[in-house]
Amino acid sequence: MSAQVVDTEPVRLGRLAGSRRFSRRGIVGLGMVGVVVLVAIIGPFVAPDDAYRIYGAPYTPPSASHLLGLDYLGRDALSRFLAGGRSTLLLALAATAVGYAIGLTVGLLAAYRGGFLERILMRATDVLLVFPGLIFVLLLVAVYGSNTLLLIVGVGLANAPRIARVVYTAALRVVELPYIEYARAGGERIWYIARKELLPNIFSPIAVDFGIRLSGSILLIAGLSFLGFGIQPPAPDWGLIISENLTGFPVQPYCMIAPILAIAFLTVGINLIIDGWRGGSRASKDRSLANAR
Amino acid sequence: MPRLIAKRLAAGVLTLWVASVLIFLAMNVLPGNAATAALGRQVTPQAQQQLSRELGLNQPVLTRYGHWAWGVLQGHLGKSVVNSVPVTSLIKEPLAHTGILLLVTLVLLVPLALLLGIGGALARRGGIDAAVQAVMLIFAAVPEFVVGTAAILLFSILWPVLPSVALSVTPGTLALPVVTLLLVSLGYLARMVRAGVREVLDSPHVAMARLKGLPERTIIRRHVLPNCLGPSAQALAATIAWLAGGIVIVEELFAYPGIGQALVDAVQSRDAPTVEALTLLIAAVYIVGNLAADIVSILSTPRLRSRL
Repeated sequence: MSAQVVDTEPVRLGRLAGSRRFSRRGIVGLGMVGVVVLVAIIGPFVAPDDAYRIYGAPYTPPSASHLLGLDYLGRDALSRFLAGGRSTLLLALAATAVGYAIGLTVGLLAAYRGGFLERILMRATDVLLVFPGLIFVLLLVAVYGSNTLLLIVGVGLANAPRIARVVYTAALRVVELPYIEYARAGGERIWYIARKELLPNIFSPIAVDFGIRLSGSILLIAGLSFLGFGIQPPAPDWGLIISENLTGFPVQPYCMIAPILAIAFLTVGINLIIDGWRGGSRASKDRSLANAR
Repeated sequence: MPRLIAKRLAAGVLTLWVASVLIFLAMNVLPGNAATAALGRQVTPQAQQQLSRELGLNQPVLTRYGHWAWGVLQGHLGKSVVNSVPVTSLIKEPLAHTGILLLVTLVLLVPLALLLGIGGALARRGGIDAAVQAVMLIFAAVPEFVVGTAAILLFSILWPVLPSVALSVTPGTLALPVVTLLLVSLGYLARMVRAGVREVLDSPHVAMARLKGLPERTIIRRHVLPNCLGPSAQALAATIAWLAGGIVIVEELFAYPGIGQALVDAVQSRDAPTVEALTLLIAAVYIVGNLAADIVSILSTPRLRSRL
């Protein structure tokens, strides 16, 4: 936990963009994620067939009219793939956002305020960390049953203590620095200090963590869909498409290859972007993996 | 040092207690009581009341928590709501099965990860290191069920040497689940070990040893490796927590009769006592793992050893 996760120089947010910021590996990652995001966004509009209609026998192999063949109910695999990216991406983004709303607040507050509040918040974080992400969401599913809101909130809550830890560790080194003391002495509000002084200077460990959290959420949601607790059929969703066609794998693997590749591109791509980003310390990248799932 | 260890131990026990309260409250206070959940769609007010009385749900939450916690301490985990079998006997066999799976995985994982992690940190950056990193990154970034499916495709369909369904526990049926778990966790653990070793390599005392002109072998053996023990133990504890999620999915994929499947079944049927018992168990494994890692860190760090 003694990793150097903080930039010594203040950072301006505007400098993130531009290819000089990424190595070749990072640009490859950006390309991979870009392709998948593009498919997810425009996919539903270019799908050749209806994603819900049954066109023929289950597990019909690919043909000229159905390029990836038919799925376990005889629906067009290509159209379902093209329509299924949106929910995966949106859910993962929403869950990560929920996690950050809570984790960022808790981590910054604990580091900045210190004292009793710090101890309470970080102890609570430690307690929540004893539940691995998937187990935590399963516990919630057992109580509430599975629905979209629960997926977002549950995966977000599972992320929150992990985010809080990273933010707290990073912020702890900054709150002692003279410019924070100066701002505090100048009578600035806590909200202003958090936004203008703290956040920009712990930006790079958080950026690294955000990527890891996002790919972790994608994996978690896909895993939940696989177990039958995620997106519910008949909705097209990449994780769900893979799990529902698993039994037909030997006869018709083509209907699940596209979503498998898409999820792999997405998560590998995000990790390549993190690796290839020239900002952020080596240690923060290696360390944040420590609580990825 | 004993005081430091005792402090960690107390913190662990406290954490486990708070976790047990959280699990119990989540399963009992939040809307939808266990009786309603167990009865499902056929719920009628009478049936619900009767089952509530049988389960003791009409008592105050605190009494119920006390009752449950006292039972857990004595090894009674309550009765399954679904088939009225004691949870202890329900999860005994799956527990042993998952224990075997986890043990075999760890026995293979730890030496491999240490080899790759320490080797990767010590080696000069080159083509082989980069290739190994890339392959491990891919396996760590792809969902477990995809890796597992690929393993099934390779070893039970294209080249049918191993069974894809593990209804019983034999070396043959263990092979594919273990390989899948290894592939998804190896990159992760190796990478964290590597980060720890690199940190030690960059530390002042290693630079000092180099300046003294010690041979590189001696530096690594005497000054680097002993200091890698703590971080590696921490990384292993984190990996066991990470494996908990992987095990659930891998058991479901291969129909392996372990606690992962038991948990999924219990969640599906909203069997509160079983879910409580299994999540508490997983939390306890996490806490014990971290405690062990902390103790290894304390014992292997002279700085912490001398501090009272």
